[in-house]
Amino acid sequence: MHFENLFVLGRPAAGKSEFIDFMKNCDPNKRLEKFHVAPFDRVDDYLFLRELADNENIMEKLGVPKVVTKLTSDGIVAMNELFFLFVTEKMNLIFNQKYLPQPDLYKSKTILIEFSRGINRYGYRHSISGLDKGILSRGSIIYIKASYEESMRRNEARYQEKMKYSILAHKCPEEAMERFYKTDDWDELTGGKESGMLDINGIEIPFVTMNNEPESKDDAVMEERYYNALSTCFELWQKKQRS
Amino acid sequence: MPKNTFDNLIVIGRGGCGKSELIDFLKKTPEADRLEKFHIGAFDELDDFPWLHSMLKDEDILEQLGYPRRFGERVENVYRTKDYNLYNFLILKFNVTIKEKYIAKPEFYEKKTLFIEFARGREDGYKKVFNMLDKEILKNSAIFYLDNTFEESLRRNTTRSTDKDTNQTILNHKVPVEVMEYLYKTHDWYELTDKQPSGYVSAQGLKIPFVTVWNMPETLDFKALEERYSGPLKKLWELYKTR
Repeated sequence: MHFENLFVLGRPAAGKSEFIDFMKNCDPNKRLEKFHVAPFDRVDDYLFLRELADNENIMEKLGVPKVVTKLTSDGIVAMNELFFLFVTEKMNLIFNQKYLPQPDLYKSKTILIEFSRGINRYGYRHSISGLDKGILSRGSIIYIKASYEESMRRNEARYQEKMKYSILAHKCPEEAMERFYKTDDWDELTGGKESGMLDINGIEIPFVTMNNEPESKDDAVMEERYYNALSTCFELWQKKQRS
Repeated sequence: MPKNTFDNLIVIGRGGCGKSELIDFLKKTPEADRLEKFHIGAFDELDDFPWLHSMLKDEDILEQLGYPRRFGERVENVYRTKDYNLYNFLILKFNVTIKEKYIAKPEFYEKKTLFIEFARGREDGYKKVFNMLDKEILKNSAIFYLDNTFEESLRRNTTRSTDKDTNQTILNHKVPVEVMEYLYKTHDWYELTDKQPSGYVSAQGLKIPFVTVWNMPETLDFKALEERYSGPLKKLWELYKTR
């Protein structure tokens, strides 16, 4: 058995991409046995923003003004919070086209769903509630926790590191970090618990909060961190399956 | 050793002329045969239809959020383009995508071919495209133009899809009849090629090799298709080598 839809949540630069890279580079048998992650697809809502921004950049060259995104000196920013509604609906669209019509796919696959939300009107509660039942009923959540200050530090460090290799390097712009991600509603949503079941639209969703501080580049340290979090979450998932 | 495959193969012709079917035929041809007979080894495909469809679907979501529809309208399950700037957008998107994903990684072209697929019509459709596509793309491109009658295009367009198909794919996508009438009833291909069956299209100071293939009657017979496409692809390769 393995996770079906595994939500990987947390602030930008909290460590979501590192978690997914770790899983990508992990031996597939070990990954399945130890972390309960089958061969996986990744659905990251940042890519929806990126695609929309790319399209709006091209349209702007043709004289069509942008309405959803803008470019700042350090990256792409949504003009307003409505963007979070757009990406949630886009997530529903992708799942309804690609994954949910093929339930057998989940026999051998995990889908990792990656996003960040803040405390504004469209925080985690709102976004998760906006997802279709078909997505949620197969869902489990790992929330990767890093403080705002630590996320800001990692965001900048990651950017500087990437800049050494590519002029196309990007980071979550400081404007977006400040406006959208300074605080979030995760603790409020989970009642501050480290693990348990969320009740969203009458569906129980297992969750675990993984403290991802201090930052470590040591694979052994990260492996233990991921193992502890995912084992707890998977036990809850199995418990849900039995009930 | 000189390169034995096309870099970019531009596959064009009005909607319903058989472009997707040609690519499907090539996919079903074993790679070794395809390489030897057609100078096409492994290949990637870029078709502007999914971009167009995705833009129009995104507008469904944006409309729900209060944004006005700018590029297309939806009548039941069929989209109609209302801003023909979209077609210029799609060409610029080819430029951005091909330069970022392919030209920036020359190792792709060492053994592979990129298929670039689109349909245009009206009095200056193709002329405009070949004046807008980036020279870096055009200088290593060959054009395979598929022709049939407008009536035959309409027939194929109608039979390959039903209005109830919401999950339109490359092989079943349907273009609304009035869009077919407006966009594809006439075209400027023969003006551009001086009614020659093969030769070079001149654009932006470049000579781009082309062949025009009469793709009627419709057939699904593999041998018949092989016979139909072999000669023109061989001719196109000769023109491409000596361009």
